[in-house]
Amino acid sequence: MQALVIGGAASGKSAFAEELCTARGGTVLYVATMEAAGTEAARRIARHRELRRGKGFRLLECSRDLARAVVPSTDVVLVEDVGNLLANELWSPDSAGVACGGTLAEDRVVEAVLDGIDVVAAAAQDCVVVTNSIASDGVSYAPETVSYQRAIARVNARLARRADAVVEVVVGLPVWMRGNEEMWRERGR
Amino acid sequence: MILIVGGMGSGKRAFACTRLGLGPEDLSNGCVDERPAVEHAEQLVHTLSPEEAARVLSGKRAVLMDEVGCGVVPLDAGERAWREDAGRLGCLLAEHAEAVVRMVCGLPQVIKGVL
Repeated sequence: MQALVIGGAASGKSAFAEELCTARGGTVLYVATMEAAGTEAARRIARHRELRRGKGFRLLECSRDLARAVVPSTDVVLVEDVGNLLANELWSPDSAGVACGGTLAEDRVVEAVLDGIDVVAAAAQDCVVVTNSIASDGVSYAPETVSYQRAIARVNARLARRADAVVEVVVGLPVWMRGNEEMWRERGR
Repeated sequence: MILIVGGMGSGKRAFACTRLGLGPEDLSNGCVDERPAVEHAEQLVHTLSPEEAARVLSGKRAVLMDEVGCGVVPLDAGERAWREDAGRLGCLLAEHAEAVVRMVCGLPQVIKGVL
């Protein structure tokens, strides 16, 4: 089973995605993607660690090139999040986007992120991917930012197409766009 | 308390007035006073923490709040922090609200409770 969880900043999407994982039962592998640069990133990481504390999740840190990660076998994998993976692929030195440059970068990073998610999803029975809603502020951005917005939308659409469950989280509340809670808990048991 | 969330111009105030029987004079804008409802609750976290803002809003009949977290992460650290706090405030209010309505294109979607 695969689920895609989308939400804006501080919408409660992480806490909900973690609930989806524990609802499936078994061991959960948490794939953390944020590069720990600066105090703000450190604070965010600490907050997420606190959120996961006591849940028994195992941790795999991988900020990019997820397709080459060595993924231990697990029952459930939680990838958090697409926005970080894409940004790291686009803008980190030696990553897919920078290696190729120009307009091709967007296509390359979209495929790199999808390939990476495929690899970790293959290691588990169930996969939950957290992604970000970043295209609804009506602001015109520089071309590279627009490219990032478009890339995340493309990844989201591709993941949603094949996901069993697609859930938007709004003020901490799940809005199921595909599937439902009962189906998520029971199917494949 | 009924929480009404949605993007800018999504129909939150019209919904509050037509469905909850509130008038424009019943809504305070970005501040808390004796009026029974508050709009632009997201503005409160410029000066209050999400917890404090949720506390002062808890006795209101209705709270209207713009969803502000669905854009690009702001470059400015202060704006980033405000956006995070606004998101946390929304989650706190929703937890305690008897009903939560999310407006999309003027249409209400009840995502918690019943109206």
